[in-house]
Amino acid sequence: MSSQTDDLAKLTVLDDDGKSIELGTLWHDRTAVLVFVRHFG
Amino acid sequence: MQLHHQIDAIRAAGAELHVIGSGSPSFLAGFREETGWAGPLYTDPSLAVFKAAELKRSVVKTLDPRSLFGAAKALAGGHRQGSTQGDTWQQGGVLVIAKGGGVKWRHASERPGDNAPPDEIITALGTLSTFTTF
Repeated sequence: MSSQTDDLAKLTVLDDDGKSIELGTLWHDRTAVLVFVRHFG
Repeated sequence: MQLHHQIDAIRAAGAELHVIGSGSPSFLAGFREETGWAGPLYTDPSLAVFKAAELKRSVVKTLDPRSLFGAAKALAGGHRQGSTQGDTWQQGGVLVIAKGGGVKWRHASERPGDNAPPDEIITALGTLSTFTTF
């Protein structure tokens, strides 16, 4: 287990409804491809 | 761009693609509208996740309008072409995390337009899953 993903797993993001989601749940059941995007404009 | 079109391949490999943005939650509806993305979408207003993912700092400084889903069009002359292809989005990077944890593949955008090659992502997934589809 990577300690980096242990740290990441505890962080949270917000979904469409503004609900807080723990990142770790994204890769709990299957491989997760996380794509980060920034918005300018 | 290509990742959007590779979603079927990604899911066929037993993985899921999650898009993580950096604005307020109101960004989410706008993103879906501009890009047509209907899959998992989240935002990280504090940038804590961006930072923890250790994406290169140059990502924060670049103002390249190349987007995740409208790369080619966005770069032509640097102006909008009247389409809503989401040319204000910039890919910061990609992390592939195996089920249960562990970073298996990463790409941090180092310069404008330096987006993760979708083929490499699919290949990385192929080495993780029990399927040998690709």
